[in-house]
Amino acid sequence: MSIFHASAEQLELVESFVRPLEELFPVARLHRAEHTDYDNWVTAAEFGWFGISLPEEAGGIGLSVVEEALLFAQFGRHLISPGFMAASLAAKTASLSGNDELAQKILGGEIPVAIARQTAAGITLVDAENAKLCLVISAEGTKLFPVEAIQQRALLDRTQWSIALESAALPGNPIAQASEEDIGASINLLIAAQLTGIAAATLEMAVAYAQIRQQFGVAIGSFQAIKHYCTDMVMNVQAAKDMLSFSAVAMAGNQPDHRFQVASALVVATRAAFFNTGKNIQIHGGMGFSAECDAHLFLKRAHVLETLAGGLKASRAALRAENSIFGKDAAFTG
Amino acid sequence: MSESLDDFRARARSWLQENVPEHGSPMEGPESREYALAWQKRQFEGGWAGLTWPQAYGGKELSVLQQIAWFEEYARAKAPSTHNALFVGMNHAGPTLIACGTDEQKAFHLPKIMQGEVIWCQGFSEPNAGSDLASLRTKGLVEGDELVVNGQKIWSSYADIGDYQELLIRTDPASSRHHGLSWVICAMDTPGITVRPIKTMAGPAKYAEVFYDNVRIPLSNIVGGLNNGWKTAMATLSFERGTASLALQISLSQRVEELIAANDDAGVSDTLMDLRADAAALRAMSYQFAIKSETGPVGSEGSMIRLYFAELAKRVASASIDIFGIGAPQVLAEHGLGFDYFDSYSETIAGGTAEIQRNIIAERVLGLPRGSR
Repeated sequence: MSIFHASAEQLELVESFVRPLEELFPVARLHRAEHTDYDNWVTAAEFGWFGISLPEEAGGIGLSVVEEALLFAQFGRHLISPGFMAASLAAKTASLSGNDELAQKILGGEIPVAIARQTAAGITLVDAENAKLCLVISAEGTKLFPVEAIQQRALLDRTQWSIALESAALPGNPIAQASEEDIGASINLLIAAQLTGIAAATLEMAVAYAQIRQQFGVAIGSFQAIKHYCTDMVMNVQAAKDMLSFSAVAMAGNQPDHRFQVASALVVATRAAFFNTGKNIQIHGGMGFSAECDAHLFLKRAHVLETLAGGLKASRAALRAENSIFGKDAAFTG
Repeated sequence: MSESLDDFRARARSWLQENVPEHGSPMEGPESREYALAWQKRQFEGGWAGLTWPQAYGGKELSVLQQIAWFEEYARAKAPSTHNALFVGMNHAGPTLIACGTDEQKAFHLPKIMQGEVIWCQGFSEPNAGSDLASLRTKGLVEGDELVVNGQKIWSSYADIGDYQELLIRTDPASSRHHGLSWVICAMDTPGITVRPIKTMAGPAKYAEVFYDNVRIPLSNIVGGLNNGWKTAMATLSFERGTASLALQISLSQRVEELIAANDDAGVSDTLMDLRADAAALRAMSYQFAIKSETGPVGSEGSMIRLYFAELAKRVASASIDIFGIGAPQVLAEHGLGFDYFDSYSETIAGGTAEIQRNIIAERVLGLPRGSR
């Protein structure tokens, strides 16, 4: 195993995990208003996707956050509901609260979980219509609530952002909770992973289109203006992917600077996702602006994930709070 | 290797602590030459020269993880920049000779480079062959057992203080583009060579124009075969692990940290955090590239890392001027941030402009169709 990056074995293992994704979660499903990823909730639980990095005795798969991050990058590619991230974080939260029974039930798929972000006014729930539990993320960590405990729920949108958004009041008395110190890096890593997957998927979409779309008698990919956008996109993907793998390995090895690395991964992936989803629309031209094209779905999901992370500004502020090993008086790892 | 990575790192750290020169390098001229040679000699005598070179040629052939540890410690100790007058010999001409040179060429030149006896300079670009290097026109005509060279090179790094030049010239007069070129070792004291240093916008002259007036070079100085120069020039990268620039990258991260430590203004904090995160990503990319390169060919990923570094270096230099202002002592100092800032404008020009690099990445990494430039 490499001391800096995901190993070949880890990459191979995750390959085997993701084989069913294309069939279960084609991106085109998001064009159907009635679709819900919660239809595949139990299947996902059976695959073990909610407990990749939890130990086997706690009902997990017993792998590390490296495999988990690689899997969630694939979830990002397929625009899988952030509820799946909620399940993983809720199981961790329950486990950290010492409630193993609850963790087991979440991992087994018995209790569907949705995710929410705490705001100044209350909470914003995402894709919560089929959930029984809600995991609320804030700058202080996570809190888990039964959905019945959530008051003043109001649907904000279902169409504009291509996912259901609701506002509600923040309830009291969570059934489980975890501090930022214990779970913050896990939240950031999983969001960074999904944003990395979005950046990668939109790069591939843009390049494929640039190769077939013809204008002025040639493929538009032969124009320098298009090439330069695509190069910026692939460099974003390379940076986000390698930063994700590097930070996940640092976190799995409990390296002293792992929080710095994960915070960097989130900032890099967020910017990569915004740039790439935007340029993918631009490269698709008029088609990219249409509702029937997948391009806008990636842009919108990038915004939803950024919001769940507390916003790019907050992610930068969180990075500022960490120490780099290249700062004064700091020792190198190794 | 019986020595553990931790022990290796500790040994590197303590040697660097005792041996890194107290003062930085002079910016140009004979003093910069003496400084660079003395530093190389000291590294050689301490057993720290040629770390990336194969053992067969006197190198240490360190594992990638050891190279990473060395360059991390090197930057930490604030050792002289690896982008100095030794750069061409250690990272360009030396590797080319190792890949394509004859036994005689290797036996003569490689020890001199490693032991800090000679400075090499580059001779690729011409006034009309910049990003389009293959359009170069400096001629070398075969006469007996010699080449007679006429023409002009420009942006030749360290030509004013160099002993040898890696010279790419057109040896088949009927040829065009990549064909009919030769990669030649040119001794800079050969009659007919005139060197004119170029002052840059940053001040000091590390580049020069070089004029060739019937310069006679023995045919035995051709590396990789007559009219095979393009291949020779490309072979340079055959054992490149990308680790040679690690120390530079880490120095860049250190500079970002210095800016963060010096600045509490919320207005530029977002910029600084993006720089911080991007510098961390550059490190992650470089380590990934180095690790992959040890087990197989890595393709064009290296050119992405180079471009990423170049643009990040410019952004860091620019941020430092924004933060300190044009009149600050650390900006105006001799090795100061002002020099770094102005010099950073060369990052996206030297060695192929960022625009040409983008074309190449789009075509070789992404497979987009070639178009007009």
